[in-house]
Amino acid sequence: MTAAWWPAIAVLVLASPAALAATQVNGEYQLMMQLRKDLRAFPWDFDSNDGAVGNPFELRLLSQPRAGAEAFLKVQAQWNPGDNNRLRPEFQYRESHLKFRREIRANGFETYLFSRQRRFWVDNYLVRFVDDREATGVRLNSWGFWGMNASFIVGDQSNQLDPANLITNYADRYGMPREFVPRDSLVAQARMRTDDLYVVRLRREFLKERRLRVGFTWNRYEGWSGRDSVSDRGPWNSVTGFDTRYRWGDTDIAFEYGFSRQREGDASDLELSVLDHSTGVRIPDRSVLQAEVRSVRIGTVRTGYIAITPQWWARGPLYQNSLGGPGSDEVGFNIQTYYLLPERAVTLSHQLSGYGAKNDSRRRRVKDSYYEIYVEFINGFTGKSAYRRRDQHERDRQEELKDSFLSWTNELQVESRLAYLRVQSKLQNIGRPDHKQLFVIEDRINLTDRLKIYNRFALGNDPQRLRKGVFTQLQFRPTGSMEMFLQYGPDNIGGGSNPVEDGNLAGSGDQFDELKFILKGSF
Amino acid sequence: MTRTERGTSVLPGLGGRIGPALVLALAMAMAAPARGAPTKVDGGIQFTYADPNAASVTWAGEFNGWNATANPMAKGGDGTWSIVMPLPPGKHQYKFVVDGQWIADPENGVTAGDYGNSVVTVGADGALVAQRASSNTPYSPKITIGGRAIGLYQGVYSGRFDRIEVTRPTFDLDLGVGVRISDALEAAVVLNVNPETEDVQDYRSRLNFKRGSLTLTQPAFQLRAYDSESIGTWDDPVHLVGDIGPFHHPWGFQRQGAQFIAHPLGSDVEIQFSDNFNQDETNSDRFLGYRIDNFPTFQIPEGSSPRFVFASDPVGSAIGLLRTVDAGGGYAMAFDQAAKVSTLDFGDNGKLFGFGDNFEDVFAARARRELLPGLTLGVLGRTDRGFGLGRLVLAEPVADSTVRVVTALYDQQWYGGGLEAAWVFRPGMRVWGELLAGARRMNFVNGSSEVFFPVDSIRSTGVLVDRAAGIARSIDGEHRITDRSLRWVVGGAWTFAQGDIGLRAELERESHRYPAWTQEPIIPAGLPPDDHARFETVEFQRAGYLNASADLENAMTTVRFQWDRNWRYYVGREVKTTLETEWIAFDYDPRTSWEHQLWFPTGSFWLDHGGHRAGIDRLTVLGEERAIRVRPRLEIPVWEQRHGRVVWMATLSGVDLDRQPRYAESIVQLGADLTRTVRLQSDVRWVKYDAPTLSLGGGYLSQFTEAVVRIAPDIQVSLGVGIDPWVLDPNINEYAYIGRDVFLNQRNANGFIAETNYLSLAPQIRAAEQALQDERRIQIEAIVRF
Repeated sequence: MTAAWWPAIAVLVLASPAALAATQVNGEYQLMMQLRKDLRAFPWDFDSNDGAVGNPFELRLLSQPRAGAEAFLKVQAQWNPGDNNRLRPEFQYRESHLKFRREIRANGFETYLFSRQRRFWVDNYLVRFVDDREATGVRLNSWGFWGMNASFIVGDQSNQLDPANLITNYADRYGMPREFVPRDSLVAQARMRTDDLYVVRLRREFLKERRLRVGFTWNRYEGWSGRDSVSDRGPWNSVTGFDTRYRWGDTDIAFEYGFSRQREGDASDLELSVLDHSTGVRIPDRSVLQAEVRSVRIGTVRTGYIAITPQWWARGPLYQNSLGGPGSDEVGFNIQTYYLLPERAVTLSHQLSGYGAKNDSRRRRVKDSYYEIYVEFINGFTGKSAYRRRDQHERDRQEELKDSFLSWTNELQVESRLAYLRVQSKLQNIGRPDHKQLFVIEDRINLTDRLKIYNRFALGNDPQRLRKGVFTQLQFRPTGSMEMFLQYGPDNIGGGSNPVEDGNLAGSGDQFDELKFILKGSF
Repeated sequence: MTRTERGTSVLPGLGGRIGPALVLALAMAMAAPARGAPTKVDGGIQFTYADPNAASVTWAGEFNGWNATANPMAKGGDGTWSIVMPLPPGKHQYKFVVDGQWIADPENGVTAGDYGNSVVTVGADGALVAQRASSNTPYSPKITIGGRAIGLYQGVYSGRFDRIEVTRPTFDLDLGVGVRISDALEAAVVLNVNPETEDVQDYRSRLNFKRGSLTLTQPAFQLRAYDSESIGTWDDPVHLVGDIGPFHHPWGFQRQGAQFIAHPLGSDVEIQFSDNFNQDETNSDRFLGYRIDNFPTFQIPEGSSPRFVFASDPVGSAIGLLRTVDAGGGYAMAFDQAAKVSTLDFGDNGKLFGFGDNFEDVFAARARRELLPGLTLGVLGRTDRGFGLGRLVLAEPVADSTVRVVTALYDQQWYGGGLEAAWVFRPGMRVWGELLAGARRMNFVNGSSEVFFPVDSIRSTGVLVDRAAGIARSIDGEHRITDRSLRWVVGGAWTFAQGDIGLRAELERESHRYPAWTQEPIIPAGLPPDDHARFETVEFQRAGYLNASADLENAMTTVRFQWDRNWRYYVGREVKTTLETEWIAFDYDPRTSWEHQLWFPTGSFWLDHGGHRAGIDRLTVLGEERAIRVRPRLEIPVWEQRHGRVVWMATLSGVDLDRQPRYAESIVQLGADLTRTVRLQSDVRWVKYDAPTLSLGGGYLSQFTEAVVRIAPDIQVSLGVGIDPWVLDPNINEYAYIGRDVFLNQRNANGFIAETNYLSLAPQIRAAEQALQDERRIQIEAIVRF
């Protein structure tokens, strides 16, 4: 009956009795206006909203229809002329996931079906067998079963596929109108032509107080050759890794080993050495080995303690890991040392590392020393002074190159309820033609709890150029969900968490006249 | 052909994987309180929360000072937690605390406050005061938010690379927003994100509008305006509106329109108007911008089908096609002929000719009333206008010395209507009938004219006319009928033995009369069907348009019989059998072009042109004078404590009962609960072809097995192996049992190939079936409704 149909035509997805669970929609909106002087022909003229402005409107939907189940979606409208040939913003897909979690006493599992999210994190320690990355896929975590923590991940780099280009290229190749391209078949096949990623991570603790931890990692990368024919054979690569850690008193001894398999490359052996001395041990060239003893502590309460952490690694020249690290063809060591002066708030630290390639035709050795003193003064002042020296030695049949890089960094910092001040300086590449002097002062004055002024003055000088970065910002946060900024100057010069190390200051960034007003709200 | 199992499911509790049964669920949700909604019982108000997996559930609210531990709920055998709270009169906000998480009562749509607390109101007598669901969000009591998220991740085995390749996953999210604007007016929209439906990188895929409606409800009538929303299928015996395409879609999708329903004088009246302009490639403006005198000519791209013959001098070409006959001592024009040069239809979505076919306006109306107890009589009609844009150049001899050439631009129109009747003369016994008559016509527009040319000379090779002396007459606004059709159906059904036995029989006839010139040139009678593009030659056209004054008459007579039996009385369990049979007899004029056969939509008003309805089993019997289809079905519950079920269903298609079926398909479904939340189910299809005229033979097997974890009634995760027969129907965006059909259809085993490239049909079916058999696929699918 027609009459029986009419109630059904509302919104199908709205209905069903269980659709009444709470669903949250939240997000944020930012509007930015800009005046900039350096892009116009006349020095007195300001250019407005030159494209370096962002006005994102982000919407997030989070629904938990049942305990242990969750759906999440994020879309964003961004003013971005030229993208998708749209002059006005449109809501575009950003990320989403479905999550299912179940816990029974100490055991449980959790599944993510994710799209465009970073869900590849696993508990690597010494060797990064798996890097986190954005992809689309399925991840299953479990814990407690047989005392084991496990993660299984299958992913797909679906962002590599651009169906529009695929169709255009096909049409161009065969000289046919784009509309005649057999879209269903072509795109359906192409859906497979993106990189596939697989990860397994298992971990279990043994012995009393869980002193021994044993882990296993396996990954496999199935590559896409990048060409647009399904018959292209892509590269693949797989890594199997084992890691152990044993706690002996306060000291952890870690040992990790992994080997790779891939299509190309010949197998040979890697000779292991410690500080350039052969051990007589050889392992496959596709292996990687790393060991660490974390914090051998020497000293007494009276003399203070020295904590030493030595680390050593060997990486075969044919080792390859498309889903993580480390690099190949390197043998090296690293020794970190800390000394806390007794009855003084002073910390001395030193780090010595050396590494180099053994099997390359071009031999390379690097030695890196870092010395730091950190002092906590009274009234909230802290100070830090660090010296670093890096010596490089490279040699092949034609030439031999020795080089040294020296730097010296100083910092003084203080913060109170009313204000914050940090002064940093750095001499970089001391004694070299490209030496630099970098200097930054930043301060923040809290006029009220809601109204603050932030200033930063940065200088970067080298024989070629004197760079400047003057930035001042009036910050107003009337509520916890809204903030306003009125600012002058480029915010990116010296803008990092450690301003003297900022690439824009040491590189090519320089001052220009810019005024920005930013309004942000979240809901 | 596999069949759509509407309303039944191998997955109890999910209504066919949240499929069409959702529609009914919605109707129920709007009409009645939810199953587990708070209820008045002795001692107070009973609250329930269904979650067999939860370790602890407590009730917390204003009444107990939001204490999360004071009132633990008790778990029942079915996994439902419940508690009776002695609430005093007044409004009470509350939530459930499920394993430490605060959850609003999913069965109570009345919420309030910033945190979306559930609300019940207790009256002075201790009973619950009914309240309309306000919202499921903390934002506004007028707004309801809901949706469905699907994650589908598949790996397909690649024999070439000897490995599983993970496909670009599908993440499909519907976000629905309902707004109760007033008690009389409601709005609803659905937005959708699905990177797989757009030809862009996934991050550029958009949050798109999917559907929307505005509904005004008054005591005397209901008015709904909608955009791509399900309006339903009319329940008259031939389904004059709706039941579209091979998957029987309801009316309303891909259309924008309005529906009016009223009940004046005890009758049911429905009026519909809709337009499909919301589809892309709508280029009718461009077409209407042309007149006949500035109409462009088209170059047919190299490699394209030559079926569209449109020369730079179409009038000359048409006259040149006229045939002459030896009259003894000279030649004369053969009468009863018409020579046509045209495309009958530019409806290719503007791809080749630049004009769309999508601005079809549909108007339909019906009224019916119960005249006597049990006897209902109705009238109904429908017209479709504005589709099939095209250009016609038609040359006809009108006398010995004159040739008339119609040169016109046209759009096309269907119109038809008739009567329906139903009589329930005894409980369980019902008969019905419907009679519809209709026509299709070309409406001439934009400078169309007919030109009378005097004949200069008549030779054996053709007719020469004086082109300069032609006398033109405007025919704008005139029309020509291209199809007169008649359709009637009578039937009856009888249900008895407490509903255990059902019988249904139906007789239907559909007939069409076409002017001969409407036919594309076809193969001569007696030859097997072929790609008609082969016959687009001048000589063949000359032969094809003879006897223009004699219309073609085609008819199809169908007899259907269905028997349903529930054997519970004999075996003590719900064992059900069904047998459907259908006989069809065709009566074709041999001049009928292939695409005007009755199973093809271009030849039939009643089959909603645009969708190719002939399923793969029908393709094996095309061109025959008779067709028969038998569909038995058997359903047996086994291992009842585990909700086990075995279903066998088959489709046998052929031309006669005593001959081998050309298409024999069997599907076996098995399913049983492994645990309370995990169900294992399998679906196997085996098909055998035996169609020598198509060079089609051999058997093919495909299977799908999955383990389904039901986390909650509307949430499930499944791990499957094989081609899933339950897939999202892209048109209606709901699950349907069409997965294999879609797979075969996408690989060219479909009616469109049968119509346009019949010679390629058998290889395409073979390749598609082989691909279905060989496909090795593993998938994880999660469905969450919220």
